[in-house]
Amino acid sequence: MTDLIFGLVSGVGAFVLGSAVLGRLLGPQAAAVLSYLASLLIFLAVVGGAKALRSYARGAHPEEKHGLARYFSFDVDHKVVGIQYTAAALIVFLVGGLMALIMRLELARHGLQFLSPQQYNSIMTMHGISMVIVALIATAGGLGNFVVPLQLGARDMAFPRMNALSFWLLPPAVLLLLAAPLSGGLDFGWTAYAPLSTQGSTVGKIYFFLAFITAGFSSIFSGVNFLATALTMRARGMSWTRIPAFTWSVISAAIIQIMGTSVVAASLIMVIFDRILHTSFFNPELGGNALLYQHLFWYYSHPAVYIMILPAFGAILEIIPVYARKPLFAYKLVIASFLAITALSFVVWAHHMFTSGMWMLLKLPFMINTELISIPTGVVFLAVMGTLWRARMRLDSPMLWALAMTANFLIGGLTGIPLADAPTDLHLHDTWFIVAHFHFTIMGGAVFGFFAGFHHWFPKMTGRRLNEALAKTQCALMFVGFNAVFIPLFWLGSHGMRRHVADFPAWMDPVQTFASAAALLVAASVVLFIFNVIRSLRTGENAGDNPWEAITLEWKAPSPPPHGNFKTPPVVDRDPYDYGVASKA
Amino acid sequence: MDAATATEHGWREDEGGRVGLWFFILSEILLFGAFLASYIGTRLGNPDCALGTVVWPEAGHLPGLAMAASNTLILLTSSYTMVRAISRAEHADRAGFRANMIATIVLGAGFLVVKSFEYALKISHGYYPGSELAAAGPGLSIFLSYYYALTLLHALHVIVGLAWNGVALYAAAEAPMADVARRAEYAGLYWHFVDVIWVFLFPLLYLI
Amino acid sequence: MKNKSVVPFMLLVGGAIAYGLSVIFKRFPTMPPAASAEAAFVDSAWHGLLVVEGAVYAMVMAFLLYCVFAFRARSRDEQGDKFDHSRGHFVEVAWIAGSIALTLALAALGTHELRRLISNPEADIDIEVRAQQFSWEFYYPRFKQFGAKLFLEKGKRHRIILTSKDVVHAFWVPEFRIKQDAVPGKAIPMIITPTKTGEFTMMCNQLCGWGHTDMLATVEVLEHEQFEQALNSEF
Ligand code: HEA
Ligand code: HEA
Ligand code: CUA
Ligand SMILES: [Cu+2]
Repeated sequence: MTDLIFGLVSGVGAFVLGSAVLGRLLGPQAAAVLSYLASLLIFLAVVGGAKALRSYARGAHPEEKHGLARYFSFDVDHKVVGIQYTAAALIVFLVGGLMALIMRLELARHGLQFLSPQQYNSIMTMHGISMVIVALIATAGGLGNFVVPLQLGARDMAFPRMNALSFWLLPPAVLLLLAAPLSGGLDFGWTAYAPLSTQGSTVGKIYFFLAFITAGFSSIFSGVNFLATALTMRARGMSWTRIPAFTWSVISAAIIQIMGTSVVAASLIMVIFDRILHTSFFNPELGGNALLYQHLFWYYSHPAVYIMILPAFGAILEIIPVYARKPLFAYKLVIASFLAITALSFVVWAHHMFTSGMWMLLKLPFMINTELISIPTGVVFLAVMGTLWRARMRLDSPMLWALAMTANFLIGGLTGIPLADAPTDLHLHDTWFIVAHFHFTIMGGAVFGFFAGFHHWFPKMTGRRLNEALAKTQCALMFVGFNAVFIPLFWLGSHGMRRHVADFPAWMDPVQTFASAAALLVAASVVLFIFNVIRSLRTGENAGDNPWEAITLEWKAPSPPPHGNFKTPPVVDRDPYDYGVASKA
Repeated sequence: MDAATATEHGWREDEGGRVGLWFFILSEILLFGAFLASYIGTRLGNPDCALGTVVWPEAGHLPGLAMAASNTLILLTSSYTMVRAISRAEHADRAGFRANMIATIVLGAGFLVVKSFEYALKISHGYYPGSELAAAGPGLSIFLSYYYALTLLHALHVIVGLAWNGVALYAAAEAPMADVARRAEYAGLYWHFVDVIWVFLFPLLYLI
Repeated sequence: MKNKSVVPFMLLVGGAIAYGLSVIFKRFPTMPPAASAEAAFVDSAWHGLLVVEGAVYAMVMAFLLYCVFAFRARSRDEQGDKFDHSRGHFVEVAWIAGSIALTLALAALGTHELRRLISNPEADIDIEVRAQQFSWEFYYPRFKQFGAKLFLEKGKRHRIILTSKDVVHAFWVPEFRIKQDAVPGKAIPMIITPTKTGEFTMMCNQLCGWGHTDMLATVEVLEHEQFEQALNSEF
């Protein structure tokens, strides 16, 4: 706790001081970069990185912490890191959601209500980037860090110290991001296309890119960590075909994290150089190329959407067999599909650039590759349907969330195809049809999937149970509210509502007003959720080790699991979804 | 790197480190790969700085080339001392390890010194993005953009590598030699990677 | 799932739903009224997608809903039926084959319409449309003349050459179904053949900064005579 406070104080102090002093010599932007690097190192060192590094150099084990305070410290236990990630994701979700509400209020009717277009752009950008961060870290980072080592029967992640590092890289990134709109505003949306993002000289834009890069490194580190853990830390008997689907999905996401993130880092670094060193990467007058940014950006940012969704797929496929009391249908096919999605995700990026004026003939392969992804993704639905068939379903809250996620993502996925289709994308590109598409995939898919996993593993994480009635009401409320917000937006989009605008023709009013009203339902459900979590943390009933009668390894450990997870190293002797009874028929 | 439970696949816990490091290096390769791909693409598509023509203007090119060449030698030597350092560590020879590791670090620092002199030289001739010279010629401007981006990025990696080597050296202070050897091995892997990157950069930025 | 007769059954149901949808979408348009020849290609691809995906959606959802109602556990100790694949993997194979077939069919349709969209670069009238933060400029080489609006002639093929002075903008007229970015350092051609006279709003469709919201312009499609005189009478 004290380390954290000192770390924040010294970090922020160093940043402010550095910006002020260096600003005189180098100009505000260069100063911001240098003093950020310095203050980041200072923060990490003070918060606990220095200790960890010393213990590493000494060949010693990282220290074990106890009590509540460790959740606010550089703790190396994967369960603590997982909970830290989850909490961070939820907080950022609240902030991003608040931005969304502000946007929806502004958009409630045509004309400008209380925001200037500038403020609208800044808020929209903040909403986008913070929600993207949420979707990236909530399931893979939060639930993944907590569950994966348990499911593999490991004592911890392969690199506990690096694990803590990947989490503690996030708070500086988030703080910087929050400072960005206050330091000159962000007019470029979460995609931050060059040359718009290289225009002007406000430090806010520099903050945005520094934060993005920091989050990227955090993501690379955790990806490396997950892969090394899965390769080297599996319990005896945990063969590849016995690894639960959720862990497989996190492995696939980790592959994308290490193969893609550094490429987007390259494009972000180029923007920073263009801004402070007057390089001309994206400036055509000086030999640059404006489309280069889009190619590098989407090379990562398309696969990134599968970093968001794969763990969500994993979560629901993990959950459904438990509550259907049946084995997962076509397990091996599902794993193969995860890997197929991972591979395909790297050869579709230009479907975001059909109208960008890139080389005509590129459209065809990218269109077809993109549509091919619907085949492995379809297998996920096949698995869900096959598992539900002749099941004995228990509609506990996690199951409800999983089913809601399935219904939402079916819409989100199917509406991706018209976007992948070059001719129709000519009309749909950058309209609200896309806004609706990706809310159905990211929120309806990734976030609903996260909630499913959250309700499923909450008893394991805390040893306490959430209130089922509240959880189910929240699920219903959010499902109805969410669909009511975003289904109309498909119609608006195809009829001519473009993205990134604070104002629109008057005839759209009824639909927009309806969407804004529905957003309040979603907000209500979120409030209900917060209430439920706080309530169960304080007075929730004791969950026991295995409230859902599941058989994957994490449920063999006590809840919450102690340091080292298992009293005796577990030995795996059965398949992960060995539920149900053979029928006579 | 904490005690892993042995698995049927017979991984030893120290292998975790090796595997992880390789994955990390893979993503580093993609970082430089993205820059190099864009760089090659730009020079292929742009007559003002087409491949095959050395874009560097005559003035001060040869001294710069000489510095870069000597830097290449310095790094290769440092790779050699690094190999020796690791083998010394594996033979549990603390002193030998220290000597070689210090040599590696000194060489690495030397690289940075030479590099900064080279930058100074180039800037003195006005070879930097934003100079009138660059503003005059699109070809030169974009070439310099990539030159500085790639070399600065590489210099950053050299610095990280030095810090890493420093940790391994510090480990030799008290840690048991087996652990030192492992940490040295990881530091070495990364250091070799940094050197190899330079071996790619040198011809691409100076010769073609 | 027991016998293989589900496949023809599914095909029948799917086909029926698809047909029903195609009728519905004729009645209730899902896009603004088309006003260009190019729109036809986009719309045919669009309707193909809508009916196929509508059918897929309906069937998957129907199946899920049926399961949720049919396969509830009455008591917590009930267990499901223990199988993790269909007999001879028939269902898996059928599903994958089906989705491959559908995907390829949709891809083929898309490819076909794409070819029709980009096959013919010839045009009758050249217009230079220059974007900048946050306004548009329309230059008519043939008339050596700037237009206050974007004047187009009904039935003629216009080659619009998009350029940008600063950042990426985009040209979009929903009724034309055509969208193209204007990228600094590039001159990107785009063919439009308006089929209806009248005024349309054209909007910048690529986030280009603070003024993006208001970067609008009017397109006016005229008959031959009005078109000529509109451009000769300018200034
Ligand atoms: C995980 C991803 C995610 C999620 C969950 C959401 C959730 C929501 N999004 Fe968003 N959205 C994006 C990702 C996401 N979005 C992205 C990437 C963009 C693109 C941005 C760009 O183009 O640059 C976007 C853009 C976007 C737009 C289009 C902007 C434009 O193009 O002009 C709109 C418009 O309605 C919108 C609305 C909403 C709404 C109403 C929700 C709701 O579902 C929100 C629900 C949550 C809440 C309502 C939170 C409630 C919280 C409280 C009530 C308590 C708050 C208290 C404290 C903070 C202490 N989003
Ligand atoms: C979790 C996030 C997520 C996911 C999973 C997806 C999944 C998909 N997305 Fe989406 N997408 C986004 C998030 C996501 N997307 C975001 C954030 C953007 C906007 C970025 C921005 O500009 O701000 C975007 C934008 C976007 C575009 C760019 C549009 C444009 O800017 O012009 C395209 C174009 O191809 C696209 C396509 C697809 C496709 C084909 C899938 C496929 O993976 C879907 C596959 C699934 C199915 C098809 C359904 C299930 C399959 C079956 C039931 C089998 C049978 C079906 C058939 C045979 C069709 N998406
Ligand atoms: Cu110009 Cu948006
Ligand atoms: Cu994409």
